[in-house]
Amino acid sequence: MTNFITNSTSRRSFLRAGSTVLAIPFLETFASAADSIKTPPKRVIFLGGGFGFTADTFYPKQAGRFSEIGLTEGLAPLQRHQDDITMVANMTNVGATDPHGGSVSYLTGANVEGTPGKRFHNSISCDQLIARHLGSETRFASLTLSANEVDGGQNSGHGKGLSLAWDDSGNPIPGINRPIDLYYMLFASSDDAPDKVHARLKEKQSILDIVKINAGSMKRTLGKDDQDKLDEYFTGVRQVETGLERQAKWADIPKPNAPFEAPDEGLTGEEAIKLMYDMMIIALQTDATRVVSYRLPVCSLLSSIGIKLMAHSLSHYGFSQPRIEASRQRDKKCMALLAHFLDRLKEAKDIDGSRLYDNCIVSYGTNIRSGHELKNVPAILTGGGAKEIKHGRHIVLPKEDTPLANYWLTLMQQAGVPVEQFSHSTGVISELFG
Amino acid sequence: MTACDKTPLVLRSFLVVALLMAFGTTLAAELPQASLLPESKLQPFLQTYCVQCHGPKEQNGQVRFDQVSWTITRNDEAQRWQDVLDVLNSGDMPPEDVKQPDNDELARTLDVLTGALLQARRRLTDHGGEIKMRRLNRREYSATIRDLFGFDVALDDIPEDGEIASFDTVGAEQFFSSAHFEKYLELGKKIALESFRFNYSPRREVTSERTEVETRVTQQMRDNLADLDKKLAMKEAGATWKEMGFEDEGEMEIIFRQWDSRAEVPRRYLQYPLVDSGAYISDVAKWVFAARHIDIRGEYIVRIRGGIHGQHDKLRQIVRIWNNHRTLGTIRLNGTPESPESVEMRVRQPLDQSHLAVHVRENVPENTINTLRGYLNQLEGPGEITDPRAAVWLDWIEIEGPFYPERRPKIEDVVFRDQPTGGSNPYIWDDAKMPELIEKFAFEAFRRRQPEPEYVAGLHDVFQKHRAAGMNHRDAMIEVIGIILASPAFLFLQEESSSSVKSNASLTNRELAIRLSYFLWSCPPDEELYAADLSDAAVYAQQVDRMMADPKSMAFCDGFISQWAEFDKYDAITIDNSERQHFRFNEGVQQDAKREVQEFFGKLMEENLPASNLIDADFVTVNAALAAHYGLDFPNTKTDEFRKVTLPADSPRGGLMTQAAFLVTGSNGERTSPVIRGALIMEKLLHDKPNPPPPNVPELDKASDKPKTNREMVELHQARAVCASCHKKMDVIGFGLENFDTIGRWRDTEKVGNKQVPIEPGGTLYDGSAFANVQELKQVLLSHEDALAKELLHSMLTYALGRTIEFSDADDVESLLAKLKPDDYRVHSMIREIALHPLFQKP
Repeated sequence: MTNFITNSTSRRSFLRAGSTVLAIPFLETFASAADSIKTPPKRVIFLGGGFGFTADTFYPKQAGRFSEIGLTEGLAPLQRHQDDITMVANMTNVGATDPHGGSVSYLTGANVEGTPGKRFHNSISCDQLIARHLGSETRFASLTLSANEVDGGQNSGHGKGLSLAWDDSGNPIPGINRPIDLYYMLFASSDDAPDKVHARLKEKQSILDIVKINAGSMKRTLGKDDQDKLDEYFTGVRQVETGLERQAKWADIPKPNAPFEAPDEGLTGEEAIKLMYDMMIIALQTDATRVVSYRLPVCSLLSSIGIKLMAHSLSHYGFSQPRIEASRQRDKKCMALLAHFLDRLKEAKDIDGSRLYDNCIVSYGTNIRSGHELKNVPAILTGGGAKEIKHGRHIVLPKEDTPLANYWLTLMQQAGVPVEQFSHSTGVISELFG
Repeated sequence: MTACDKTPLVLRSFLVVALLMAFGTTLAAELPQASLLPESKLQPFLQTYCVQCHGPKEQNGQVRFDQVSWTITRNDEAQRWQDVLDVLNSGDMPPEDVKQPDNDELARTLDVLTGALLQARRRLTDHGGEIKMRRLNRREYSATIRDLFGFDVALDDIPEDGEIASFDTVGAEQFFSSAHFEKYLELGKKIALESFRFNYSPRREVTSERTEVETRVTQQMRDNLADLDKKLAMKEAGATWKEMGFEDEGEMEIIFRQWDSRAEVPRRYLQYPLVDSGAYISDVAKWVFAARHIDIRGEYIVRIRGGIHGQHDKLRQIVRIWNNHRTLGTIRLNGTPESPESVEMRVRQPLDQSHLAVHVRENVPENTINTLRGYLNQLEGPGEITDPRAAVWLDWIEIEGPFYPERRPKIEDVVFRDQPTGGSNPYIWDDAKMPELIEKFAFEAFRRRQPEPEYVAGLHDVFQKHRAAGMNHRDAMIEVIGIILASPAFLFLQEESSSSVKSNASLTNRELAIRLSYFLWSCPPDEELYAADLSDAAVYAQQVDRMMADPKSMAFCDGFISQWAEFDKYDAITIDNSERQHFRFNEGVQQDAKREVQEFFGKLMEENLPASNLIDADFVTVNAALAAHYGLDFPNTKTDEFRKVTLPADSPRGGLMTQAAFLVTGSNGERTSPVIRGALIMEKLLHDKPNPPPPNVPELDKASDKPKTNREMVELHQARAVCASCHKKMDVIGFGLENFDTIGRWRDTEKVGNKQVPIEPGGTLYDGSAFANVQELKQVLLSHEDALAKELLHSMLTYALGRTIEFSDADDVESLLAKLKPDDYRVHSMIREIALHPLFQKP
């Protein structure tokens, strides 16, 4: 692949051009560990948006096919995909209590403030459960993407946590925050020569062995509760080890060469989202992973599209007409970016020549409807990977506050994960199959 | 569908059995974590409005309220009541077709149930005084590195603490992930690398470097102008764009279209009298700067000489100084260009910022970067269009230093032992001595805990392998130090005997020293504290007093008050200073306002003043920029320092709630928010934190066509019972501060539609006390001084102990308060009593 973009200025302008003119070239190689794979695997993508959308102008007022009921102003940028999206109304993340925490329990369904003896306690997120099933044959079990929020999680509408993902002890999984970091994870670099990788792994292993000696002798002298805290340290170290083992396993299989130059370190906002979206697609297409979650940047998106307000201020949009307009502008921008993502997902070819889109399940939403409402959350579903789900409709579930966990359960089953129950689920959303 | 079918699924899914199960004879008092809901207040409401459909006859949604248990012993019981509260809040219950409670009745019930549930949940999460081991938070990490290496680490470069609801010292709120480990390792190596740049050379001599600022400005402007004049002459002679030296025709057109700002304004600028000896800050010379390489172990003085050209608003006498990373501060210039004065401030730079580049400009909003014209028109009225309208004239900038602290960092003690830093040392370049160096350094890094022999051997092994692979001595040591700084004995403040059930368990001398030191200094103990016998009460008290008198105790002041006053919320407010009314708010004031809170609290500590000063004080602690902001006189200090300024007797200022940081936090960036201000006062000054807003209440409808005052709009909250239950308490307190605008300046009127309408700051608090203005509001709050003291003590204890204060601490809290009350809850005494209290000294 030629590097036809040679400097950062033209790269940026090329990114800005989006899907219409130029796009990041997708890769030809399908670098899977198992060459035997002939049918495309399922992929699952979770996108989380923090604060919700403008109540009056984003949500459809009635159920039905979009081709008949039309798209609202906020959804209008998805026009060209209207037959490929499904929107589900009347779901509530039953455990959620934090009106600023759109992402805390979004994929976990946990009642984070309801565990005796603990002020905060989360549980495993469904992307991580899916990764256990879909992630064993890929370089990365899952990719967890996020973004630094300059003014903190609470103020961006995400709440506590570092990403959408939480591990099985309920600890937050840190996200890859910058496009440049994802770039170096996905693409080959001179440091990737197998002997170098193995040497690095060996060195890292010896470091881990040393700190474990230190932690081990501490542990003998600590009370039980402090041991828990030290176990967190051990777990962290073990996660590094697991990562190393996986790296070792994959060291001899080359990463794909980057089809474009490394992005600027400080890339944020709209451009960062676009680039993350594009690189996600490359990661899926090259089978580097099959599960991706992305906690979308909120504050930097706003500033990159010229909105001076902080995200939390904007969530109280009812204060003035300019705020209402900014809020609506934000909605449209988020959907335009999603439309761009779908464009690219449809352009990318999968292993058997089908569209990558046809094998993906994509969810977009948050715990927060608009302002600080936690009921009837936004839920947009797309991608052809959920074969039993027919897109193109706005579905209004008959029961208010249908658990969001039911939705996750449905998607997990559609992804081929053998589960009957997730979090506080009470069943699947059968209306999706109608 | 009947209205009753709207019962949420959760509520419906818990069976009648479940509610009955909870019904029992168990007394709440028997279980430590049990709570009892106020039956007498709730039962009549349920009986009147709910039992008809959820009672003996019908059990709609399989819920019945005629025989419920009022005890909450488990979380799922609390959750069921939460569901009840949710449907009441959302208005789903009672359904429209049955008898409705009136607003007052509903509000009362919501208030009771919300409060009781919150308390029940707190009881359920009571940890019985257990302190979780904790990791150094960002502030402590930076201060600990400074103790070891002599330089700071910028907080943003340190692995994050996560979102903390209480204080960053509370271990239970922290977590540790693989990313933390990797980042600590990486950062540790960076620190070690920087250490080799600085800790092995002797202290440098103090030198001063002066930059004449006009050299960058004036000659360039003259050259540009000459070039433009030449081009204009060529144009008049009929030359083409190419002949004139433009890149294309477009460029030519732009230049000539913008002739006034590109040529005439500079021409006017160059007619100012002192352009050859200094720079006039203006649209054509936006800022000036100076730079030098520095030793980050020391402080530097940034000195600026200049004066004010002409007569201007006080705001225009202030300059803002920043480096490439942050605003460093603001200073007022008092002289004139003809008779300039020099002013100065001290600066320390963290890791990776050894190139100090200071920029100086007038303290104006950054959004005026393209042109000051609009801003100046607002501030001073329209002026002559072509005049650069400069106020600040700067002669030069000087950077002088380094000024070192008395004691050198620990690593220099280890490496150079009895020698001066940079002298001969027994280790360097001697591979054979590495195990000894590793052991001695790890001992200090681990706060005087002996590293395990296998640990030292492991590190030595790493060192040798790198050496064998051809790495030089320094780089191999960097790898080793990096590992030490990612090891748990460095990162965690562990107390070996903690959480032991033995009643006679106690902290060791070393552990107590460390706990005390991180409480008051946020860094490791010094020599004297390690050496002191803290089991001797007199020695212990003497150490506490010594530590509190040490300037390092500012770490407590800043760390505590910045979290207590919720600077994170303040930082999240974007002041709309593009609009007419807030143009006086700028990046300098933004930062100064935070420092005011810290300096104010520092003053309360230093002078051991009563806590009630947080409600009202007869002084403010401000710098020149804030004095101008508040309309107060300020002495000529010639520095960026904050001073205690006594207020005029009739001043409405004084106390936390009239400080700009507090008032801005109580705004939405455009308008004041009496709601937030009231809620903050209830939480911080009355120890009565309002319940969090119920999540599912829709946004208030936007203002009607008829313009309303802020007060009228806020009072809309009280139209709905759901909102009124809390809002009628807190909003009225906020109304008392309505004379302070969004950015904390005094106002007598507010603009409603096209009219200026007088502010109405009066009201009656929920306890019945009436007030007419902010002064009277403060008097009312002062009568609740006990509540303020309790809030402050709870918060300080949380910070000091590293755990939240629970029901089980009630006796200790009361005894401390009783001891402090006779002397008016003095702040210094409060901190001291916490340190001396057995609660602080037990594991």
